[in-house]
Amino acid sequence: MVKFKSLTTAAAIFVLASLMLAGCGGSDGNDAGAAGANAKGNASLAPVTLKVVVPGGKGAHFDEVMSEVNKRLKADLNTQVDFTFIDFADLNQKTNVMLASGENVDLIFDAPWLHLDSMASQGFYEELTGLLDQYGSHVKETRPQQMWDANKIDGNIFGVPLGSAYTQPRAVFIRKDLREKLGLPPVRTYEDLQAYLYAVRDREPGIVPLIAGADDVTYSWVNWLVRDDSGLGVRPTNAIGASLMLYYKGIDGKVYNLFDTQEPKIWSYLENARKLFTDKIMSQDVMTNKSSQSDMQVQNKVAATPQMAFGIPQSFNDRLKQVVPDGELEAVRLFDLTPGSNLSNYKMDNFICIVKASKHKDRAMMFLDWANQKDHYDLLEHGIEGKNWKAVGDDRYETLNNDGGIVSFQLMLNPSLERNWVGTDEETLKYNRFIAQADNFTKDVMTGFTFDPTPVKNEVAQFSAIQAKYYNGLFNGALDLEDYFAKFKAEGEAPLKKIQNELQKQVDAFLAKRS
Amino acid sequence: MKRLAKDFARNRHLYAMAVPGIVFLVVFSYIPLAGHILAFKNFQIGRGIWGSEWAGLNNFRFFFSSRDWMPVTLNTLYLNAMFIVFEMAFALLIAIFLNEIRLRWFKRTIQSVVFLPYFISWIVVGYMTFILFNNSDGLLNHALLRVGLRAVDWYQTPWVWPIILTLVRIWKSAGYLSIILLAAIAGLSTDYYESARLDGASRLQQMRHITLPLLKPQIIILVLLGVGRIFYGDFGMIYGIVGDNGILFPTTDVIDTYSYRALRQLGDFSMSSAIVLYQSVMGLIAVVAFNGIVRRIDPDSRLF
Repeated sequence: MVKFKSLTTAAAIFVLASLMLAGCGGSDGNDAGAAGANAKGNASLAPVTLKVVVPGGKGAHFDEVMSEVNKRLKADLNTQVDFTFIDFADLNQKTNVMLASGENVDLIFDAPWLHLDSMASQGFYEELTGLLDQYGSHVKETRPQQMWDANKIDGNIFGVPLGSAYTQPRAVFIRKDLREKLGLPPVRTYEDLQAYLYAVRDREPGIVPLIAGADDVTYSWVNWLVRDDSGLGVRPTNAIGASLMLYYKGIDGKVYNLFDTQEPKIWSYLENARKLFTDKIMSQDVMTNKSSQSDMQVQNKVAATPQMAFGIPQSFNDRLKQVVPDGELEAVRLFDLTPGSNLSNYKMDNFICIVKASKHKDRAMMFLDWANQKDHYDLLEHGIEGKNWKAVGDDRYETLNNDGGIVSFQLMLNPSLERNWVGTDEETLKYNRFIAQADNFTKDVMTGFTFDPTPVKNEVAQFSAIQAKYYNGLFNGALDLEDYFAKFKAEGEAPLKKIQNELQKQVDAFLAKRS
Repeated sequence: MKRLAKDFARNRHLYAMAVPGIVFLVVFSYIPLAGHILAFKNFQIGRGIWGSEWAGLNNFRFFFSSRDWMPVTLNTLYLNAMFIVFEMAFALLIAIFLNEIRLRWFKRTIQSVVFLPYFISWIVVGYMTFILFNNSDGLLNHALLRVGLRAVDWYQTPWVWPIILTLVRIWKSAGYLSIILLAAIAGLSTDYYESARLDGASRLQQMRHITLPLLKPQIIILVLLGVGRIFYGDFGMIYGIVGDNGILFPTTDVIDTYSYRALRQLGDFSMSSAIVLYQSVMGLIAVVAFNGIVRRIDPDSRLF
C-alpha cells in the first residue's frame, strides 16, 4: 500500500513536471510570418515580427509609444517589433546565453565593452555590407565614412556603429547647492574637485562625498581620471575589457604592461584613489554597493559621481528635488577642449548586430533603415511629437511630458539625426558639439584594429579571473596599493605577459599592413 | 519477463502517467550528457557541434594551469560540506521539534515561517545581507556602535564569510528540508511510540531511540543528493551575496564564480563545458564514494 502511494506521488510529480515543460515550450514565440498570409500595408512583404534585444528598461510611456511604432511599421514594412530589455547588470550573461543557445533573436545590441569582438569572431553575427547596400541607405548616410572605416572587425561590418560623438561625453556630477552652501567657487580643476569633496566630508555628515563604479571598470576612479588626462595619452587596449593593465600610450604603436612600467602618472592616480578611500572620501562600500551611482546621487546619499554626460539631464535634477527641494546638480568637466589634444580611434562604443541565426535578416536591416529616418528616429528617441516632445528648429527638442523615448544608443543613435535638448546650457552644448566633430581629434594609430583573443584565450580567461580579484579594489582605492598590487603582479604577470606579446604581434602586423 | 508484462498490463495507467516524466528525464538529463563532447572541441556556434574542430584537452588548460584551481575547488567542497551538514542538522532539529508541538495552529504557523525564506531569490538575499553588513549604514555596525563596540569592515574581512554564508543558507533552506523530514516522520508507525510509552520512555528517549533511527534512510538520501552536487558552487547565492568584491574571494570563490569571471568576456562555450565536465565527474566520484561508505556502515540505507 505504501509503495503504491509513493508511486502515485512519483507519477503525479512526473506529470506535473512535463506539464510545466509543455508550458515553457509553448511560450517560445514562434515566428508569425506564415507565407501567403493576408498582408496588410506593404503588400509585397510577408508579415514578420522582429525580436530585438537591447539593454535598459521600459520608460513610463513605453506601451503608448511602442504601439505607435508598431502601427507605422505595420503600414510601412508589414513588420512588428518586439523589444526585450535587459538590465545592464545581467546584460553580459543573458546575451551570452541567448546567442549561444540560438534563441530566436533578430537584432541584438553588442559592444566592444561587452563581447562584440569575440561574438563576431565566433560567427554569431551577420556580415552587413551586402544588406547595407541593398536595404540600408539611410543607415549608411547618417554616419560619416570615417565611422564606417574605423568600426570594422577584420575588414568586416559586424554591427551598425551607434554613436553621435568621437569620444564619450563625461563629467563628475556634484551638488551645486552643497558647493554654494560650503562657500566654494565653481569647480574647474581636479584640485577644486578634491577641495569640494573634503569640504563635504568635514562639514556635511550624513552624505558620502564620492562613489565611483566598482562593477564597471570604465567607471573606476583611476580609469576615469586617466581618460581626461589628455597630456598622458593613455588608453586601454580592450584586449581585456577597459582594463588599463595593458594600455597604449601616445601614437607609438606599442603595447604597455602596467606591471612592467608602473607608469608614474597612473601610479600617482592609484595613490590618490587610495588616499581618497582611506580619508573616507570614497564610499567605504564602493566595492559592494548595490544601487547605481546615479540613484545614490539623486537620493542625496552621495555628493559626487562620475557620469557619461557633459550636462545634467533634467530627470536627475527632478528626482533630486523630490528628496532635497532646493538640491541641484552641476557638471564638473575635466575634458580638454584644445583641438587635437585628444585622440580618437573613431570607434563607437555601441553597436546593433543582426544575429546570424535570424530568419529575417533582410527585414531586420529594413527596420534599421526605417529607424534611421528622421521622423522615426525622433519617435523612437523622444516619443510621440506634440505629446511627449516638441521640435525646436531642426536639431533641438523640448520635452513635454518626461521620457517618451523607447531606445536611442541601443538601436539607431547617429551624429546626423541626434537632437540637443533645448534646455541644454551653452557650456554643455559647446562640449557636445566639440566631440561631434571628427576634426577636433587626432587620429589614433590603432584606428580600425581589433584584437583576436583566440591564440591566448587561456591566458585571457586566467587573467580575467585574477584581475577581478584586484583591479576594481585597487583602481577605486579600496585595497592597499603596495600590498595588493604586489599580489596582483605575482599572480597575473605571467598570463598578462603572454597576452601583451600576442597583442603586440597583432598590432605590429596591423601597422605593417597599413603603411 | 512474463511477470513484468503482467505488471505493465495491470498498472498501465500508472505507467502511462510516468511516460512524460521519463521522456523529460531522457531529454533533459540523458541526451545532454552527449553535450560533454563540447569540452573537447573548439566550439563555434556558426559551425555547429560536429563542424567545430577537436581541441583535445586544451579547454581544460586555462583552469588547471592556473594557480587558483585548487583553492576554488577546495572552497567549493568546503562550503558545500558546511551547507550540507548544518542544513541537515538544523532541518532535523526543526522537524523533530515541530513534530512535538501539539497546538495545531502554532505548528502550522511555525512551519510556514521557516519555509518562507526558501522562496526568496538570492538577489534579494544579497540586498538583505548588504543592508545588514555594509559599512556606511549597516544595521549590524549600527548595533555594534550602539553597545559601545567597534564597527567591523565585514566586506573586507574574508574569514567571517563562510560562517555568514552558512547561516544564510541554513536560514534559507533548513525549513524546506525540515518539511521533507516532517513528512517522513508523519509516516512513521505510531505503534513504536505507543509501546515505548507503555514501557515508560520519555519524550526525549522516544526522539533519540525511535524517530532518529527511523529517519536514517531519508537523511542518507538527502545527504547523498547533496553530495552529488558538492562540486557545484551555488552561483546564484555566492554571486548574489559576494558579487565582484575581490577581497572576499580567498574564502568564497567557488568553481562556478571563478569560471564565470574567467569566461564572461570570452563567452567560450567549450571552456565552460570543460569546467562542467570536471564538476560532474568529481560529483559522480563523490556520490559513489559516499554510497560506498554508507554500504560499509549500513548496507540497507545505501542508494545503489
